[in-house]
Amino acid sequence: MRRTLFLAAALLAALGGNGAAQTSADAEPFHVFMVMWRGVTDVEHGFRAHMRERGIRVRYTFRNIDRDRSKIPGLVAEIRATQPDLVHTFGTSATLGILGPRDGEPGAHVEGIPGVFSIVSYPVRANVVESFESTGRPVTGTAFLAPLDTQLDALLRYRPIDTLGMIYNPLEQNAVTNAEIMRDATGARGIEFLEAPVPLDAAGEPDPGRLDELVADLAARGAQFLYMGPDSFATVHKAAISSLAVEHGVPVFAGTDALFRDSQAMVGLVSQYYLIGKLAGTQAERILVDGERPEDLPVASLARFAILIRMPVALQLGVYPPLDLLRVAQVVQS
Amino acid sequence: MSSTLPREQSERNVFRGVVLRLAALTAVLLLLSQGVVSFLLAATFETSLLPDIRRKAEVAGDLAAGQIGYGLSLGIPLDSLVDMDTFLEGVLERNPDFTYLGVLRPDHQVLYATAGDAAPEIGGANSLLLPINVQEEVRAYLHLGVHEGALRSELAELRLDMGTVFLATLLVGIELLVAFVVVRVSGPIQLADRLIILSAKGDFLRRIGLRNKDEIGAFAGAYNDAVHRVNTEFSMLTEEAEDARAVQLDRSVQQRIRDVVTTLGQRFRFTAPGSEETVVPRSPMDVRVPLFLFMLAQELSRPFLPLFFDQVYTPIGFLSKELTIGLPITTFMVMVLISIPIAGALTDRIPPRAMFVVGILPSVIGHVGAAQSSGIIQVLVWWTVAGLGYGIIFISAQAYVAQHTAPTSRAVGMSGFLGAVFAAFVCGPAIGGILADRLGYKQTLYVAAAIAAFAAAAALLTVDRESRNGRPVDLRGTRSNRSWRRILVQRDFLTLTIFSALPSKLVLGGLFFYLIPLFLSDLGEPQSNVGRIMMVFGIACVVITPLAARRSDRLERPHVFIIIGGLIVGLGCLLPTLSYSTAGVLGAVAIIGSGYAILNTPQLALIQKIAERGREFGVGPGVIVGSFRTLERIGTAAGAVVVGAVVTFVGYSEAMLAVAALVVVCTIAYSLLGGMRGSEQEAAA
Repeated sequence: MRRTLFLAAALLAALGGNGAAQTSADAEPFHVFMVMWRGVTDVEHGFRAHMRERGIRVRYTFRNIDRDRSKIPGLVAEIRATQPDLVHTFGTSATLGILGPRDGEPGAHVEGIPGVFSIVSYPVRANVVESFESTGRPVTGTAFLAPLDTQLDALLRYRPIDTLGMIYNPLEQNAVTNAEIMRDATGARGIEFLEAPVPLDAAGEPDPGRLDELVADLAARGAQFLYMGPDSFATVHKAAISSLAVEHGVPVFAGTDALFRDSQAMVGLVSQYYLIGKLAGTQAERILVDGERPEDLPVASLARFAILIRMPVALQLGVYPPLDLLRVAQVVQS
Repeated sequence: MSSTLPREQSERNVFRGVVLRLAALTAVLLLLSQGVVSFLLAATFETSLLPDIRRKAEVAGDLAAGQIGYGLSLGIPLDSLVDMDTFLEGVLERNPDFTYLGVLRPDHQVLYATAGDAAPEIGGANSLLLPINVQEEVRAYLHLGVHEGALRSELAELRLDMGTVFLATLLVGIELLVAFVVVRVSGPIQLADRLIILSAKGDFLRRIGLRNKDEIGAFAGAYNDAVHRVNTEFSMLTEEAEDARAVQLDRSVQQRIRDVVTTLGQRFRFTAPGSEETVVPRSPMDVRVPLFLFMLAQELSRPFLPLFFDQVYTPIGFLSKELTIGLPITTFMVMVLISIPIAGALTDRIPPRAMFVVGILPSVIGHVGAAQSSGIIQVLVWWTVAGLGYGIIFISAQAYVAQHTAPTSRAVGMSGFLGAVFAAFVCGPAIGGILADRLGYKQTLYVAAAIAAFAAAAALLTVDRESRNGRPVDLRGTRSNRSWRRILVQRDFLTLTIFSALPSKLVLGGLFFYLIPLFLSDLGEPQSNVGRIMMVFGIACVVITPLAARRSDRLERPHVFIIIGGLIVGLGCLLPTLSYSTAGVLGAVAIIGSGYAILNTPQLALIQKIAERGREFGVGPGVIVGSFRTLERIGTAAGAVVVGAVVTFVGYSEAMLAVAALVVVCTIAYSLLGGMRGSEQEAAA
């Protein structure tokens, strides 16, 4: 609901700013500094497409970190020197490196220039912003993850279930919170929620060696689907968890692109990078054209996400997608 | 003039058979040609429309088949497709043209199917079988049931229109044929027949006044030559006899010659050659074609008039919308009411032909003016002008018929007059409805104006130019206050008028001129159907009136028929309450039409009876019938406004219920007051 309101507000602001955008056409174009983590993606394409469609003249500077953190200080210096109107960062590492966390070392990051981030899975946990509603600094961005409710609905569109299993790291606050939300969401739909917190090893860390046992146990308890939520433990062990699940005949639902990619997850609900880029463009427009302060702009969320289906897994498990879902889903053959 | 001719034998209608046979032949020919045209049209329609619908279904079906094929191509086994019920029902819901969807194995075994309608036969007209291919290999079939209801209803609509046009063409064709045969063929031949019979009896005083350049004209010319020859020969004979007599010395011979010539002159009737009386064949039928055309023009707007008024509606003061759009219909009738005595007075001075032509002018102007109006006041004014034309035409046609018929055969003449009115009443609304559907209200009003103008032209061609007001006809029905007072205290007159004539005319004016078109339009019927349903009323009248008239004549109990007819009308008005549908209204129209037909003739018979007794209290029969007519027309005029006022507060079916209640109550009152008394009198007699 709130997300919808935000989007509507953004849209209204965008429409209202039309006149300003047109008058700015005669003036100097805006200077936007685009920092990429692994080269040009659809996020950058979407961002530029939005500016073009809105008639906003922008001069871009593209800089690719190329997963090499050592390049970051040089970029920060360059940004300070060129003083662009706005900085856009891709991914958690680039965002933390360029814009820094909220309590970052003074002088180590870009300051006094509005920042917009994209593809940061946990901007609050990474301390990029204070909360989604109020960023608490001249930085705003786009939410990357689909809300858990939306994820569960997507799962149910594939197949109605009575039981849902979830493996999570009990030490990770984010994962615990996700489990709580999922507990409520399944409860509201009359679905039995089978929780499997990963047991800790001698060192007090979650023990990946126990995953086999956990998955077997969930399968034995009749889990019809295994949910992999956006937490770092699951992301690291996605391949192992999903493969084990498939071995036990349990399909896996992935809540993020990162979890779905290079795993044996059967279904995933992800944000499309192009749309994320356009959403970031909307945020940038509100800052550049409408003169809004980034600290006043909540982190924006997409209203629509993409459903991914990994067909070989579906065939292997014999859990076939309904035709109506196939019509809208992207089928992945690897 | 012709009235001096002996009539008895020659009056026999030798050409009735010919006219009937010609009419039948025309009907058969029209039926044949229409049948062929309809067949060809329907075939064209089906070949052009059916593939369209099939193509549309194929496109939608291909889409669904493609989705299934995609699923199969991804490796999903055909018998393991998930949630196919939802999928197929979804496709069905998005495509109203489909009645059924089924997924078949290549061997046509049904795997999945929609609930509801059964599967059509594969290969049938309403069945489609689309292959579902994966890599060029047929892996399954999508079987579709295609709904052809839309197509069928369109076809049915077209066939109904063709049927209506056929019926209207038939009526118009026979109407024109009869008029042509009577005016150009049978009329002159009947006259010749009479004259030849007279000549056979030795009467050579008349010649046929015909300018036709056809066989009839040649025939008349030959007859005239013969008469001329006889008269010439006789006059020569007379002269020769005179000469012969002059030279005779013998007085007895002289006397003998004179006697022979005198006897000859007595036995035969001769006249001086060239001074034969010219007799022109004239018949009241002359006015029938223009009258028919005029009435047709008038009836065209019948099915949509209140809807047209609704379209141009603008508020007038505190009047409700429903009442306001009924207002022009009422002012039209009021204008007819006013113009009838005025036109009646004018027929004494102005020849009917001129009256007829002049009377069409306000009608044409009224129609064109109404079509161009943009507000209800304008429409009101123009439509009232049209009412003036209607009144004038009505009276001048009647006057013409009266002047061209002997009092004894006036009823026959008048029936011809009413025949034209009824033919128009039957086919006018149906044609008007079709025109309104295809052209629009305004254009149909223009067409009506054009037909009215055409009627004027027809009148100029056919109506007797020399026709003068030789025989004054009292159609004015001018009544002094005193005679009104005398009439209005007559109980029989009052019960008949107030409890039978007024309510039945209220039904006519209120329902048929106002409520039925609005009601049917509200039910979503197109104008062509409104027209057709109104035609049903006319047909019911045409079919039942003669039957009822004959029966009531035989039974000599007009009261009974008036009561039965009234109750039937009331019953008919109830129908839309029971079934709020087109069928309900159609049934109501048929029943009301029948009831109306049953009571109409007995009403007239009864008023004639009352009129005959009128002298007892010092009022002429004409005055009584005239007063009755006036009160009837007041009922028709009030109808639209009264029903409009009722509709302001309740719905259409409730308004009909109110009318039903009124009719039934009045009929009961009539049966208590008038009917009983009437039967007592009859019993006493």
